[in-house]
Amino acid sequence: MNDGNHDIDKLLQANVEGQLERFDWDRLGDDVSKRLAAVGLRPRSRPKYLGPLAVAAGLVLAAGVLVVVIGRLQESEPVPSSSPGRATVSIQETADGAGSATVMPAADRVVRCEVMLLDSDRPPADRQAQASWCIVARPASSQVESARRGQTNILCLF
Amino acid sequence: MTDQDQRPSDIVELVKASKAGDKTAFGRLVRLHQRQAMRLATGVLGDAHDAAEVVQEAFVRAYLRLDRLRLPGRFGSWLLRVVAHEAIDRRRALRRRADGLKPSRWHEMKRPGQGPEEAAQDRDLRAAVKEAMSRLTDKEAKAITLFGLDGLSQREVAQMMGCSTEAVRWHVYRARQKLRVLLKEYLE
Repeated sequence: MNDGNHDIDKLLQANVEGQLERFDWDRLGDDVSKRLAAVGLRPRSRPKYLGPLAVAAGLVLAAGVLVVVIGRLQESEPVPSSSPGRATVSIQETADGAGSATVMPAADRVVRCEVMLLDSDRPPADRQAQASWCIVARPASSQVESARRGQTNILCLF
Repeated sequence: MTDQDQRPSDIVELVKASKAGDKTAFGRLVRLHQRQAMRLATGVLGDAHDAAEVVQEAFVRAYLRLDRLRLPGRFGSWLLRVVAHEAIDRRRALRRRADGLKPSRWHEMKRPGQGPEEAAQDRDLRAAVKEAMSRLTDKEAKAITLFGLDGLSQREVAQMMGCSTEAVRWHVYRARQKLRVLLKEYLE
């Protein structure tokens, strides 16, 4: 430490000590005690379990957020099986117009059943032609059983 | 045994008791540390009257925040950090006030056996130091005051200020440079 630094430090120290020479230390302690009494509180205590509890709450919250995010992502993907299906009717020429229909009510479901052809736009003369629409019904033998289940027996297929 | 001779283990016990709400124990801690706290606050502010208010506030805050003190044996340095923080806050508040830099009535009190001329010189010096300290940055004022306190190493000062020892030395260097100019007439 050079002399200049020493002089500055000495001056600051003398200034502090000179002021504190007459300081009433007992009064300072009393004033602090009075203020503490006025505050009327104990030191704030932080429960020991608060730390682990906060960590656990954080983990639960993070898991919840993860579930919501994953749920949202899944919702945004295309729904595979809600699109309408299609029906293919192959007519087997019989006297009463019976045939079989392959119905795909949804892209992932295939139902095959016996049907009766009631009407279609196929020209009667052209047996090789395909119909753009037809109306079919379940055979009479199936209708009784199906009716009990409340199912529709007549279908319009396009 | 005087207060200054208190053993570290006693401090730990007093801090534990204070944490449990024993205000008498905390009163003992106040008496043990009030001189160092007042030296720090008076050094930063340059005025014992302002410093006394700051130290009172710091002790109350320290009491209410004792749960944050993880190592009871380090109560002393922890308290000084609280005092330094309060003193810097007060410095900023005083700067905003028009009469903030005027010496308080504390300066008008004479020491025993002091003549009027000597008392006037003291008053001038204190006013000049207070004004000069207010010209320093917060970090410079804090660094040079903590640096001048007995029993604090450079490393401890750095920890209290939250910076490196090199930064502390730099702040002290800058503070001394400024004070040497500002207090020139009192150094000759």
